[in-house]
Amino acid sequence: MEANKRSRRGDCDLISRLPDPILHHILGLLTTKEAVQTCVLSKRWEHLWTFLPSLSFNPYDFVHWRRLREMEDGVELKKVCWERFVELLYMVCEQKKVCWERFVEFVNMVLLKRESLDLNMFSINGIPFPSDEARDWINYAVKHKTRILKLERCLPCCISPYTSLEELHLYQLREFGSGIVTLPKLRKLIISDGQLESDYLKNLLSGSPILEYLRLDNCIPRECVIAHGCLKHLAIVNRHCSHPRNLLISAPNLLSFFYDGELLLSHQTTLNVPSLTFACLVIRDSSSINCLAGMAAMLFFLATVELLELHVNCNWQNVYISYSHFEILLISIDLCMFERMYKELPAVLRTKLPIFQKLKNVTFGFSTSSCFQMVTWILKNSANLKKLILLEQEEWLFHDERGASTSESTKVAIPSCKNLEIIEVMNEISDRMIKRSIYALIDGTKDNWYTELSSLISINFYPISGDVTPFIFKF
Amino acid sequence: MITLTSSDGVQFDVREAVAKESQIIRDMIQDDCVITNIPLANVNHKILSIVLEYCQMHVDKTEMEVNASKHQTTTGEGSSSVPVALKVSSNKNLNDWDKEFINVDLDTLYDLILAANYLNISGLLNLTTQAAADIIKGKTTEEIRATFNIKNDFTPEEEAAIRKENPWAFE
Repeated sequence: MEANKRSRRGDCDLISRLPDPILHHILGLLTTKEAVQTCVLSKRWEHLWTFLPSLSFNPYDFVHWRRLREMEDGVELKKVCWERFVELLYMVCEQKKVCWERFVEFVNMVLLKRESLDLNMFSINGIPFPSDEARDWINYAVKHKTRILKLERCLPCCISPYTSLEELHLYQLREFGSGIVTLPKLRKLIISDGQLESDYLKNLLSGSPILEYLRLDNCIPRECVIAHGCLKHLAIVNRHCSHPRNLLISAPNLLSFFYDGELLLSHQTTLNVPSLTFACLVIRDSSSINCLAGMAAMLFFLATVELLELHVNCNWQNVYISYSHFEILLISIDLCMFERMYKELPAVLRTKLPIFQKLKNVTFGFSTSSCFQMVTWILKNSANLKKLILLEQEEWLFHDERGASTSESTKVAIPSCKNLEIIEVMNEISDRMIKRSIYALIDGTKDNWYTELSSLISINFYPISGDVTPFIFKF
Repeated sequence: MITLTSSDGVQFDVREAVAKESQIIRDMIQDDCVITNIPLANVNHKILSIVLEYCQMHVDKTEMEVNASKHQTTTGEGSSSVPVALKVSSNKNLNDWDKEFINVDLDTLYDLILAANYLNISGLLNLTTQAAADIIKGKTTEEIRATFNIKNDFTPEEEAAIRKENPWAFE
């Protein structure tokens, strides 16, 4: 493989002939250590690294793996979990300080020897403990007008405002400062793992007047107050099931809201999101009966959305990883749970379930057939629905035995959607299966629900994967 | 349709949308809307056909997504309302396709980088430079030199001196 990658043009050294900006860009895609080491390749490469626009440092690159292995006999270090790795790293650092000192020297020398150019991105990962050196490095990055800053286990701690910073990532927060951080240009803030203090979050938000995108990954604070006038996109990932005592989201310009995790069991949940237009719900497993009330409350606040997506765990899980492209509001709920909730809710509460007055598009992704009640309920409450999308992994929908229950529930629900224009079915199945589904569907239409729909409705089948072209079927 | 002429005189007729994947062509069309023939002095026909294959694929994928959401965009206000799952799965297919597409020899990769840079196709430039970085990653100095035919024009003394001056980089 490597051999045939060699150049056919004999001795020609093509890569060294690339223009400087392209080589700087390529070096910026390596770790800074790898980039610096290219200086001995040839005279052409000697000073290239000093123009790097992006720097990323990680003490992980300075660990003597063999020595570590000797300390942890029999452990495949690169495969241990991160916490264990950090612990080991810490152990080594404590015992010899070697790895850390070498890392510090490396970063200091890189910052000293590089040209004093403005930075695009500055990232320090894997720092095992807060350190003074890290603070100096961050100051350097701020002075050199970095646009993106990624920090692990250390805080943005510069006293002067971060006048150029547009994107800030904070991982594994452990300690918090009390000072106000000024981030006048910050548009995107991502905080992942570790602990997050309510006050610190508040400070960050109030210091970022034009923030548009906020993501909290597994670090929802006990008292979660997200109040911001400019915020457009909010993502909360809550896989570790921590429940804030209070949850207040007040964002008049919020367009999309993404929630992935268990239901929030807050004593008090207030959502003030009048502009919200895109909702996508993924409901995960939960056993607590208390969820029911919380669930109902949450849905209630979403009654204004125009676009709602519901997903279930199973294979679709990888879908959620893509939220960095973030255009979605996702609330995570397990559909089976939802179903149970619906059945067990007292009748009084059931009548209070929201009417989705503005809802125009609904996507359901499901793998069990036990959710028809819920589908029915949402459809019944969505009088203005125009498009219904069914995502499937299995062939169950129009399958013989379960098919009965499908048409049973759609039969009741679809006629209440007077404006429905299009139904799309996306299958993870073969062309043949799609056709079979269509025939099954046409058969299904002999039952009366279809005849009540206007001829405007078209049913489109899309294969989820593979090279099968979309099959569009119009009545 | 727009005709693109390669440096060696081969003509390619492509849809305007495909040609417009290139920022430089997009600018030209914007400045002069009747332009139909664009000579590309720095790209030969072999590389141009590969570049156009890339543009074609990416335009097709985008258009498929737009079609999928056509009903939504004409009826609803949300313009970015392609179902997430569809978007993700089509991105995934496209990523797989990109990965296969970029599996080329170094000569072609080099030419593609230059062409993507010249035509200013950011997606292709990112893809090709990432591929080059991936080849460098994890290799020793000697391995990198051998892979790219980089001639070491340092004397052994000079190289030793650089390493000695910068021990922090080579430990």
